[in-house]
Amino acid sequence: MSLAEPSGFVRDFTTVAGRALRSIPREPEAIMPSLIIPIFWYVINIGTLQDIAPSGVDFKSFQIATAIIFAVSGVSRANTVVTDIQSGYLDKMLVTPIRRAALLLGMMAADVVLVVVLATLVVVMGFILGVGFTTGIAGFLTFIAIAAAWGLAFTGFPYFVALKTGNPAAVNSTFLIFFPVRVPHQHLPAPRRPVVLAAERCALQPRHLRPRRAPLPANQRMGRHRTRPSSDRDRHLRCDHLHYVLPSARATRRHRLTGSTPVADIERDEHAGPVPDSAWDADAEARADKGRVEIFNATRPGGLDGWTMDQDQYEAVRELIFEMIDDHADDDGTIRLQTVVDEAQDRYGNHELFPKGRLTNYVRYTKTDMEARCEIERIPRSSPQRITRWRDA
Amino acid sequence: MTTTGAITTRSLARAFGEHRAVDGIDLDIAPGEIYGFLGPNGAGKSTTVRMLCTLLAPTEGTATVAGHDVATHPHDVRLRIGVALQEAGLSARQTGRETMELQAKMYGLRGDTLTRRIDEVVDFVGIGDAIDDMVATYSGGMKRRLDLATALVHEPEIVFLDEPTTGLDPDSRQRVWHEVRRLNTELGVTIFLTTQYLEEADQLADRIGIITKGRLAIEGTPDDLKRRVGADTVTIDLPDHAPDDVDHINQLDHVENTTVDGDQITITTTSSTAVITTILSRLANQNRQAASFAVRGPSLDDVFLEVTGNRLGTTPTASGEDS
Repeated sequence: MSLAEPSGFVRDFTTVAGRALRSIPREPEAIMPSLIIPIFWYVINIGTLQDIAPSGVDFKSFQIATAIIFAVSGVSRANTVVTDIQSGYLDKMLVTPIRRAALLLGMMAADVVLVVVLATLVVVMGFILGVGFTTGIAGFLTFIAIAAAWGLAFTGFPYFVALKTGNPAAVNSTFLIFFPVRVPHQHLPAPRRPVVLAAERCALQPRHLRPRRAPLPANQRMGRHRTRPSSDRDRHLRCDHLHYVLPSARATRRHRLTGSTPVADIERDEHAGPVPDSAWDADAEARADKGRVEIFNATRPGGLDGWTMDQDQYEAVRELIFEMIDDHADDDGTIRLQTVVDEAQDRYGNHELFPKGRLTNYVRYTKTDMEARCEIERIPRSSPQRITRWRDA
Repeated sequence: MTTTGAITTRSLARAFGEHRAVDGIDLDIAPGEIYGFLGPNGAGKSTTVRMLCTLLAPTEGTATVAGHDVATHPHDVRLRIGVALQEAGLSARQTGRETMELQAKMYGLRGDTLTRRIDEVVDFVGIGDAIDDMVATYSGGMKRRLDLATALVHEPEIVFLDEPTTGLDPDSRQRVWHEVRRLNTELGVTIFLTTQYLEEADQLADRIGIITKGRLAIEGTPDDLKRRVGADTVTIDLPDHAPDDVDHINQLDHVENTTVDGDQITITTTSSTAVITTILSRLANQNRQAASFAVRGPSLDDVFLEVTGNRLGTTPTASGEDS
């Protein structure tokens, strides 16, 4: 009679995980690249790209997240599964009564441990370069836990490929799937927004390669702004001198990482302006040449949302938004966006200026544009969304 | 589904696309039996083993191992079998002991039982102190023995050995044979043995099945199979024999064929005893003597040739290559 008997899931898991963990120090060649590559790129990215990052970006903090994405996405030990398949060891394990889920998760346990170690090392590198956690050890631990969870999620994919193909080349190429998450989403192509693409390319280029001249120093901008044919220039000037946080730093800001860049006392939404001078120039040209307004979006690196609106439509909606805030806001000066949308629908739903009859998107895009122009702003994390006049720092 | 046989299959088949690797096999293997599964490369041996070990689902037919259906109750089957597959499935970056412990734990062994069984099995297969060395340092024979040890650590009722001596030198092969015999005689384990080596099957198996092109072509004890296909061969070295001698031999009962090569007369007969007795008697009456004579019974190679149309005839050389 066989001595074998079924074990519980935890026992099965710890049995396999024990083997996986034992193998880590025995395969240093599999770990070193995962450690060196993120630290290398962290240092290189800061050294080469920090100067051309949009002003206000806490680039070191942002790069911490990028480096950790590199680390946890490159650490998978799924090739050990390929080795086990090729040597016949996986079959040997599969003919035992061990649970399949425990077998897989046990193998992946070593990946999670490696991710924690690598993420910690990358953060330590960040500490050395001046990054810190305002939330202290709790923030640090949360950050590492998120990295571990990401590592576990990521490594499932190469493990799947390993089990499906048994091919090391296929496993090694799986990290390409996750390449897009290693750059800010604003830098990814948006096929339906060619204007944005062009603006983004321009913004991503080093200053000396940009087609337009570099922005003027702050003390010379006053005269430049006065030449704009827009009444918005004063407001633009006002918000131009505020400290702000650009969207590309969102990931790190959510984890409350702080770097050397000061943040405004007033907490603002990421859609708050200003936008680059190039956007204002494009807007001026569109108004002069076509009678249309370039719609701004501060979350885009170039500041343009990629499309234009008829100037009459734009001005009608803009004036309505101002009117609603000024005349119908609550005591705190804020008003629900939906209230504004409803009023716009009532007022212009049958108006010849809006032949399609639906105002929702006109209001929403104009509102986003006005935020970027520092005329109004949304209240961060308000739900339903509320808006107010631009608040001075 | 529970049966009394150790392994029972009915119309067991496995197709890979259009190709039917195993095409309707019926097996009835009794508990405590050593069953040799012979066949050339690509005949379907390993596919059959993988189905019986629950690594591969049958596409048709049924199979029960230790009384449990491999398709519907694979977990119950896995608790009762030990498997040493064609490749010695071992992780090179573990020690032999770590490998044994991991395998024992995967079969649910713990504590004193685990320690005792590892010691027993390591002693059984003769690994010795090398059990604490890294597997990467093991020779091919050592790896085979460790692989066998991992298959036995939980005292399985049935052991599947898929070409266990392929690539081993003659000494290592003899050791594995010895261990397989002990396993069967001392522990009463049922053994399903696939092999390409006729000598191995002849030495170890109680019964043999020959598979070709996915089908079981013939099955029986080694002696039965030999008897079914072949006559004995009698070779007489008779100097200065005359044509009359050959004519006389050809007229004897049970003689099927006679060939002459110099002094040597080779006779194919279904009754070697009767033929030899008659020939020696005639020579004695004539005051003559044969320089030598030899009798060879039919071999499994003859059986294999008869069944598959090809001669397997392979025994491993010292280098481990097929001869």
